[in-house]
Amino acid sequence: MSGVIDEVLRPADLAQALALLAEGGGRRRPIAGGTDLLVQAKEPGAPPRGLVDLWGLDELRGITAEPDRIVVGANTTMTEVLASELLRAEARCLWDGCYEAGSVQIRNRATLGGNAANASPAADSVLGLIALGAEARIASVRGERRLPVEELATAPRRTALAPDELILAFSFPRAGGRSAFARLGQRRAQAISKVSCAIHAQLDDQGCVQAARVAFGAVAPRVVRSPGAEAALRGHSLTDPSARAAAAVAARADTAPIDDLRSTRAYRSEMVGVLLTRLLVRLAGEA
Amino acid sequence: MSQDWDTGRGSMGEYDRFRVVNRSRRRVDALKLALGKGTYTDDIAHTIDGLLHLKVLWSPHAHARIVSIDTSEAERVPGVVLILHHGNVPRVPYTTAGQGHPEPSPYDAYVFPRKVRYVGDRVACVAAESELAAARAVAKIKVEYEVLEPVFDPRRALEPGAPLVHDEEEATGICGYDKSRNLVCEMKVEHGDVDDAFARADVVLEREYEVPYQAQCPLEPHCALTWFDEDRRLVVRVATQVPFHSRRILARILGLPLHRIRVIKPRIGGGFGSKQEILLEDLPALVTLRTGRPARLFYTRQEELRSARTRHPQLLRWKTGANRDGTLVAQELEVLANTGAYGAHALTVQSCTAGKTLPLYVAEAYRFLMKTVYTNLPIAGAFRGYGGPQGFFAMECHMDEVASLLGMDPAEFRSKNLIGPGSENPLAKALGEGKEGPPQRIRSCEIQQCIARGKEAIGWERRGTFPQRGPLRRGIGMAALMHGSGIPGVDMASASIKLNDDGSFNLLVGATDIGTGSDTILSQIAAEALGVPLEKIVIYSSDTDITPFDKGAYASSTTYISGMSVKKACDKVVEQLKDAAWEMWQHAGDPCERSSLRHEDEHVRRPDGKALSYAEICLSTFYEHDQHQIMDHASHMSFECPPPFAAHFAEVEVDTETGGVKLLKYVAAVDCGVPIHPENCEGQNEGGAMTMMGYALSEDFVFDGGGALLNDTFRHYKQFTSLDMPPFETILCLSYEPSGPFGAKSVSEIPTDGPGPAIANAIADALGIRFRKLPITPEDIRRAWRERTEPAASAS
Repeated sequence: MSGVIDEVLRPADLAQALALLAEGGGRRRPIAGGTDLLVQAKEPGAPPRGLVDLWGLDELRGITAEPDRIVVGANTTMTEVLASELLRAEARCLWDGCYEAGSVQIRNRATLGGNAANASPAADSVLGLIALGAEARIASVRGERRLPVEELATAPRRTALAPDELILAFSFPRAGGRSAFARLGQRRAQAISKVSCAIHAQLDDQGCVQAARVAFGAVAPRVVRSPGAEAALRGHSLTDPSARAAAAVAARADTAPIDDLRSTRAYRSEMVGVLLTRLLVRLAGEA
Repeated sequence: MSQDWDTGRGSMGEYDRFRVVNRSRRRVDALKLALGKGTYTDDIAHTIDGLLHLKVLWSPHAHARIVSIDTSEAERVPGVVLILHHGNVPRVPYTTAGQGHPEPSPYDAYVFPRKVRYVGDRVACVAAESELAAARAVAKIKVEYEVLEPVFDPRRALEPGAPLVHDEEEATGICGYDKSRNLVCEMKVEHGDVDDAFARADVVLEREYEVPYQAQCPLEPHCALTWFDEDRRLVVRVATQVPFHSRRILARILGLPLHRIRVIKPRIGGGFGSKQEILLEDLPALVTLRTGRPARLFYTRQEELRSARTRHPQLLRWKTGANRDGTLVAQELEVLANTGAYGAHALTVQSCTAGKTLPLYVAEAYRFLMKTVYTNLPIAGAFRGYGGPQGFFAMECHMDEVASLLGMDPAEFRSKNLIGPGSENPLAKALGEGKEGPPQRIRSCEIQQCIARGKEAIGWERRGTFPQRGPLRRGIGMAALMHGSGIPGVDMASASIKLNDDGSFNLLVGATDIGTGSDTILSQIAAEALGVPLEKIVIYSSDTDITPFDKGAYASSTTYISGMSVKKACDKVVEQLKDAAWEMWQHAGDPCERSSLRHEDEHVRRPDGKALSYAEICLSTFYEHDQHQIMDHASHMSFECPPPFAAHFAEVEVDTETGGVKLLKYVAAVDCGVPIHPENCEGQNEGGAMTMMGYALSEDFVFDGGGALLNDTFRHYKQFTSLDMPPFETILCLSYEPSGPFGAKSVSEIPTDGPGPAIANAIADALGIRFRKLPITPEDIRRAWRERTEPAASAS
């Protein structure tokens, strides 16, 4: 038995949207592009639900450059990310993740907020946000709070969001540095990642890594960071083969892939190292 | 070889005279489809008053006896009108395979079985006022099952003591059918002294290959609408490739006189063989018969993937004997095929696995051993290529392996042994459609040209020169191919054509355009034969009340068989036009020689320059003199089955670190005789090859331990998309087939035969590793590469 959507509400503004969610007592879900929710609604056992349609809320849309931070509204679509020269220049790992995600049609509807709130372990845009050190601005009628993006998802399709909470925007520091994203899928478009990796690295004058953030998709119950890989890179040149190898080994230790429809545990575990190594080569400008 | 055998080369001059065929004209249905006005089966559903919506309850078990069905709670769901199941529907054994009569497939299916045989088998069907009500009621049907041990492995299915998939007495079959062993059919075919030939061969190579399930995935799922017309005749509007077979088989399973049924084929959104089945129209038909109300059934994509039809998985063993000089001596093929829960197309698909492949290479002796078995897995059936892709994957990988053993260039080795013009097909008689087939001799054959031009296009000389270092490795592979054009001695098509008073013609054909472009090419053939522009042909295809019979859209038969029926009907109408013009001139006191008349440019012309237009002739024959309707019809059946030939080439780049395969270029050089519509032929090649690139690299059926398909949505079943397509070059290598309309042979299935072996051979060239099982996944490649390069690491 497929789920039934029995109520679609279109709030005029954010305040109304938050009120509608609060009144829903947990049976209303926010919907933006619908690329995940509408598919899930067809799954057996999906509960009947009301939807609060955020698509018309332009206050949640847009990419803003502040002196120290970049703020991306939760309603921003992947296509809008790809149209942003700012993000391409300063948030390449996010831009690349959106470039590789879904298809043209999906990218036209899929939003960054939706991709994060869906809490898929393979969410392509979430890796970049985590690597960039982004935090989510979250609101409800009860007030606002901030949460690092890496703490947003807790398990597949589970988040730290309360039922009445909405993601308003993501914000991350304009710290400079280099970043990149790569993924492996079953084919070139519309294929959920088998493994994905994003990295952001801050380099000093000698080209040594001052700080790095490394995120992996589809190799754990949620998108995860690899503290081991980050530590292995710190203080080493991106071109240092032993640092690269140590990071790859540490990354494999920090991830826990499984066998599923798309791939195998063994392959994924090996590709964690391969993708990270390739991104390090790319960041070093060797490829 | 017979010297007087017409290989068509003498007729090549006709090329220069073609005006409509051999030209890429705008498809006759292009505009309406581009404007979204093409009306598909389900597009009229919203206009039908009182329509009942159907939903099916599918079996959750791979193998179980239905002990009881309790519909009482389901019947109480508001809007439910009727619930059908094995307890209230007559049990008539039949086959869902949409083939000619008598169908060469076992009669092992029932509208509702008492025993379910795979996850996705029919249990019950609800008709309700809305789809939602029907779905709610389906969820409330209570079924008690006696779960039985299933059998999934085709090897195990044949073992003594294996669970029996069809243990009920009604099921019958042909060609070795033995349900007490799960055996659907068996073939043993020999030509020449096989054992002696192998004994004399310098080298003998034997290898095993394996190919998986594959889903046809037509964009338009299976769907049907049924209603009573004003005369209480049953109208069936269905997405089908076989409207006439649908009418015949429906009459049988519904117990209705055939003349009380009309089957209409509207625009069809692709079939690829899956719609060569009487798959679902029996259910809405039953609902209309029981309730008097219109009814609708429309499969979801999940139902399509679980419960429609698939390509037969096979285990193949290929054995070749050859001499050191590169001459083939003997070939042996053994196939163990899995038809799943029912035997639709089981015999004929597997017969084609040998029939399309083995004769391509000349040898002294051949042996073909085949068994097809039941398992408790999804049902296999017709799928574009029809056994060819399975056989060509094994044979064309094997030919590369034999060439390598002999130290020969694979293209050269093939060229040395290929069939050619005038060759007899030694296996044609033994591999008929469930009976002895007519003998076959090759007339048109440009396979050597296909290989030569394909080699040039792919850059074959670069093969073996790519650097053997770094993570990215390149390789080039090829496959030589042949297919057929219709089923010889069986397939018949007919057409009728009549003249209108503006010189236009109505062309009625039973041929079924399912998106293939056959309405266009049949119109082109008519226009060429009649000497009129394409716009003067008004075509209408396949409605069992209106159009003459056609076997349907399958077996690569439409251009060759249906096309010839159109040409013959038009040739007869041309004679009538000339008779009428001669009579008009005679009547006007201006006589001429009947034999001197020519037809061209919509006129009948005399040598002295006088001419009568088709419009003038029609007006005269309608209203003025010797009044009659100029019209005729013709049927065509061929004892010949001229194969199209092709050579496919793939260049790949394999990422040895990730196991990823990137297709860099694909070349399909094909001899389909005279291409009636060259652009459409290119489209057929691109589409057919694309379907099979997924078969080679990304598509597979993944089952859970209970036999349920896990990747039953497009989220998880991964066909190739346009983004995955490499640069693709189709090369049309012209020949002239004397037995085909304007020299044409088939083109639609042969492109499906090539990508599996061409890509596998390219990967083998790139890595030096031979993969004998499809699909070749990054996981497989990576594992094999590790074993090759880091034996110690992979052992630990």
